[in-house]
Amino acid sequence: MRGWTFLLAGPIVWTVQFFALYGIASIFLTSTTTRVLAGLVSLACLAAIAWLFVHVRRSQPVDDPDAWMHRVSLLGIGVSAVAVFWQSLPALIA
Amino acid sequence: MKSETGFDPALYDRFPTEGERPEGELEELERIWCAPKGWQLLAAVNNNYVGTFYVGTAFLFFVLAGILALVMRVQLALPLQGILPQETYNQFFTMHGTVMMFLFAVPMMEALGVLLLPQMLAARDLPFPRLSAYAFWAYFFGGLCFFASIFFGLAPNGGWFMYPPLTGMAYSPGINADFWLLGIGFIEISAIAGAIEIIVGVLRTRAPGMTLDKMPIYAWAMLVFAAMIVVGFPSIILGTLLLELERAFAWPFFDPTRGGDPMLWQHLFWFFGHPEVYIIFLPASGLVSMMVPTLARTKLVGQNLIVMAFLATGFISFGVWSHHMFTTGMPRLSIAFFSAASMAVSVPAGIQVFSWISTFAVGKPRFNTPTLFALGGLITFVIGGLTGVMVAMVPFDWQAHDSYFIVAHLHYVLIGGMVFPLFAALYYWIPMMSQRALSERLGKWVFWLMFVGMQVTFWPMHILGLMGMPRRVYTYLPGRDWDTINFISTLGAFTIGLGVLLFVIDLARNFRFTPDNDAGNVYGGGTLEWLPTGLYSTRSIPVVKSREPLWDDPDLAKNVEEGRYFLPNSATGLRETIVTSPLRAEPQYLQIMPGPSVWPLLAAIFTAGFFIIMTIQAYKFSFACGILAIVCVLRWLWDTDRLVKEETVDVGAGIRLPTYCTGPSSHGWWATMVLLTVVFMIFVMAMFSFVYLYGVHPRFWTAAADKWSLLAILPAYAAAAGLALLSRHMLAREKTEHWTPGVLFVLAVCALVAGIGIDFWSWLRSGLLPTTSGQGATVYGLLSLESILVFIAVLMAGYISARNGRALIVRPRNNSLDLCVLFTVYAALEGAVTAILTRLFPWV
Repeated sequence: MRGWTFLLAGPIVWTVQFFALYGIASIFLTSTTTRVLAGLVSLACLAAIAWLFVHVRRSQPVDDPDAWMHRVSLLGIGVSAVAVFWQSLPALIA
Repeated sequence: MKSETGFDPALYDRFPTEGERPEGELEELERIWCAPKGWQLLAAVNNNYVGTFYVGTAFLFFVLAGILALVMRVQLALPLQGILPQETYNQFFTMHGTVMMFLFAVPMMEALGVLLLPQMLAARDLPFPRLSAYAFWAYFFGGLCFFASIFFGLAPNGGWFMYPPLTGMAYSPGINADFWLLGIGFIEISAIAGAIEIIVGVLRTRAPGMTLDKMPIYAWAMLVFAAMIVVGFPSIILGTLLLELERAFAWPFFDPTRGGDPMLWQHLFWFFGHPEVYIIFLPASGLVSMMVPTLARTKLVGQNLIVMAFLATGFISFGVWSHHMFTTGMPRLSIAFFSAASMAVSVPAGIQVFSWISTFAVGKPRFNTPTLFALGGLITFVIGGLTGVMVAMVPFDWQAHDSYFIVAHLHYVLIGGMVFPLFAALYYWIPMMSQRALSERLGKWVFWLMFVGMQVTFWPMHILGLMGMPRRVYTYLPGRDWDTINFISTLGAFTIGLGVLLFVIDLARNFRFTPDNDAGNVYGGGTLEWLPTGLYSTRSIPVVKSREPLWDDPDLAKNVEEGRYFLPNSATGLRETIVTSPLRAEPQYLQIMPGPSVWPLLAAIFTAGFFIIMTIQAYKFSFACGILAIVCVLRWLWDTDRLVKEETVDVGAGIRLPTYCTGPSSHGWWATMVLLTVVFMIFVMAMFSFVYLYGVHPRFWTAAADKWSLLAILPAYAAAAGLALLSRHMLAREKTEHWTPGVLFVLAVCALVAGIGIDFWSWLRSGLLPTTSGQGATVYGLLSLESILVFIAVLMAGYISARNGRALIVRPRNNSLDLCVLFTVYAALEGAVTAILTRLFPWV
């Protein structure tokens, strides 16, 4: 379970961010409140991604399957970092 | 090397075993897994047969929907043509889209999974062969009946997306829309059944040693595909249920004059509808990722990146549904978020494309038919992907929306992303199940006709769209400069048709189904499906040490064939396979598999009958079919979950495995968890509908039912969960009376019935009716969902009692009871959340 958690952790953070932004924009429409809340959520998600990155980097794979999970988890976290940043841009510029 | 389950990986070193295997083992395997003959074919459950039937039927629907397209193209070839009247044209385009998406694309991908996965994973079969057979037959009978509606002028005519209010009773009073709403019910069931089979199959029946890093990339694609079905399909299941309730009983889910909202349908539909594109694309991508290394004669470049891309696509594709709704007046920031996600989803797709290009560049590709189809698909898909990024930009979408530009875009994506890869796969894998491979010479003709036809048909549609031609029009006036372009498109469409016809001729000439005398590894693939096989799959199940075991171990096929690996015989004299752990594929237990049975076939016929006959409003006959379907399912289940006399058996090299397993390690538990995830997602979408309607029409909201009724409802549900868990606990106790677990379970279900009964009674007493408003409709919708769960639990209570009476609920643990308890506890939780949400929201 732990292995799956880290394998999917990056995309899960993106999902949380996306649905939070959708919910916020649906409730507060196009307003400053939405932009502020969206910014805060995005920062929290980026912080979560940073924590995940540090946590996974520190763990030591013991064999090949472990090392593979480690690599793909890091890839997922990296791509998700970009995706979370990208997803937050509309709140800043739209 | 660490272990996931306590299994010592050093035991793998015992393989391949030395010495001769005892005589008669192979003959016994052949006897146990013997080929069905004559009418027995209808009862076959083996994946070779079911998979082939499945692929053949899906291809039949591809041809039928293609014929509809050709007729439409003739109608549009010139202005003011009179070949198809407007109403018939509406039915044609609705059926073309619906059949292509629901009866061809998704079933074809599941069909290939059923056919290929057991071989690729070196399992004897998928873990629930009867479920595969049921999924296929329900799809087969239901699909044919559904398609036949067009011959009676009763086919749905509201577009494959069925937007209300057009599809509401006011504007679609006939039964055409009901055919769509009820007709795809069996397809949804079939898709969910297939997804359960694939998830459990990929995670639990891989060959020993096939850790996640060594898993074939196609298995990864199918895992994500099935997970996406589990998350995405519930939305359309709920949507169709709500729209049918509105049409049949005037519950106003989508009627804005009574607190409903047609936009709710669009949210529900597209939350399924857009991921559907990736549900189709990912397996095709998996197929391409398997073929490209073989065709280019090198390892796949960036395999890890592709796995990551599959996972990322699985998530991000659920964040793009509203890009189909940019013109509906959503808040600007919401639109911007969806626009950003729609652009982001092209990144994982791009990773896959660059990986294939790199693999071709690094290797030495042979330009045979599968290579041509793979490259043609890649080029076409990239063009479709780029126009996809264009329409992800909101201002451009506003211009292109509902124009032929979109028709061009979606066909580029679907044909490039799924149809061309499918044809590549058919040419590539048909030698695995046919005595002869398909013709290379004809295959190249097929490719060039289809590829050129595709470009000639759909590229001009971009221009047509930009020139303003709207979608879904049955004709147009002359003098708009659309004539020539439409005519060219029609010529292209017939060129594609000619290519498909040639393919059918090639199939007729060369395809000869065989389970054990196939043409073999024509293209030199390195994965396990190219091992010599019979109906029992491989003679023995190898230990996997790399991603392309056949390339890395030249003796593997010989050793497998000589029975030098796992399970070289039938350890119990029954059909069986090894269940392995989900991460490291360590052997855990021997699963006893069911053999041929007519019950899945009968259950499927009655399931399809239930839905289709309901459409023509013969309700008594329909419900009779429903009851018969339930009886058949129960009868089929009755034979399962039996102990065999050997508690443990030798599965090769002296390694012993148990023959029965319960709890979270069992494959039944996993399947139930996946099923409950589907049920939970339906519930989530129902809660979303409830909250959404309050958000858009709060003025229709009235006082909720008596909050004090929670004091009776919640304890009833708590009792249901508690008693169910207690029945499981008591079964393990030595001193427990024979009847105690069954009686406790029945009491648990009685408590469930009490919970939902009080909930209903409380709402009826409040005066709010389902026809009153959107609030009433969604409240009673949620209660109806819970009622369905309670009804299933009641059936379970009867089933458990019957098994208990026949001493089939064995100590200390029993799967039937375990899984029914799991379901009942979930039903109690969902009931409790329903009661709380409907009374306390919006928290005032």
